[in-house]
Amino acid sequence: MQVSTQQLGDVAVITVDGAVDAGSVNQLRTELDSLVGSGQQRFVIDLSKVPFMDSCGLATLVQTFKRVRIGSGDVRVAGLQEDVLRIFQLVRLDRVFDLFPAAPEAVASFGTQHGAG
Amino acid sequence: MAPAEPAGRRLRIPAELERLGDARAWGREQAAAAGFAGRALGEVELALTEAVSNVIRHGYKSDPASVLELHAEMGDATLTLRIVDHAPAFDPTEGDPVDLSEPKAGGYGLYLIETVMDEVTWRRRTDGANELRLVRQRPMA
Repeated sequence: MQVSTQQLGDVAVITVDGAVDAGSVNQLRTELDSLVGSGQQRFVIDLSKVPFMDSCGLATLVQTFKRVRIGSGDVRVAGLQEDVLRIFQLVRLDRVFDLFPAAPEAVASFGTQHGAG
Repeated sequence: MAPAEPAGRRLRIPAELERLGDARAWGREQAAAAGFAGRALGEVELALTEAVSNVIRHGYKSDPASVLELHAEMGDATLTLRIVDHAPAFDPTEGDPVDLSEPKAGGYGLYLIETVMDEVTWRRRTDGANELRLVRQRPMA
């Protein structure tokens, strides 16, 4: 699994490539923890290249979501493949995270809410 | 005497989380051979991954010297996956129920397994092994 980060204004776009499971999730967790620790508040997680995610992957996203929602931040998720969307639905996280078809739409969604409180 | 189990229906892996991908690929192969496809195939793959991950993390405490065995049995109507390990007795089916009304940073594993499989049972065998049994109805032909 590979994780890369692109900063677009005040939004960090995290692109994940490969299966996210208990054996690979540390890389994603480390990157998210580091960014949150440095004050990053707005995240787009691009999962369009993720064919599989397990409960450890979900837990990492929820942990980040909870940390940034204490402030004014948010974690938005883009590009879910069918199997990964199914896992989000099974644990009702599709009702927690704002989901977008692709990363550009998710990034743009922050812009439309900018300054709205 | 029971017939020998075909080699392709069994996998032995060390208790390393880095080997989860191997277990998942094997489970996917077994499920596909049993006729699962699409969403159902992904669900069986998910259940097996969660079950194996549980054994490695909670049973064996990620001790790479330990080994676990996966077995697949294809019945006329069901696919049965068995995860066998020699860790201390641990019944993973006795976890607390999950409250889905708010997001949790953990604890979804057992819920996912029990949601996507038709039957989930655990037993401590007479030889001292733990055996988790996951059963799902095969798709109609």
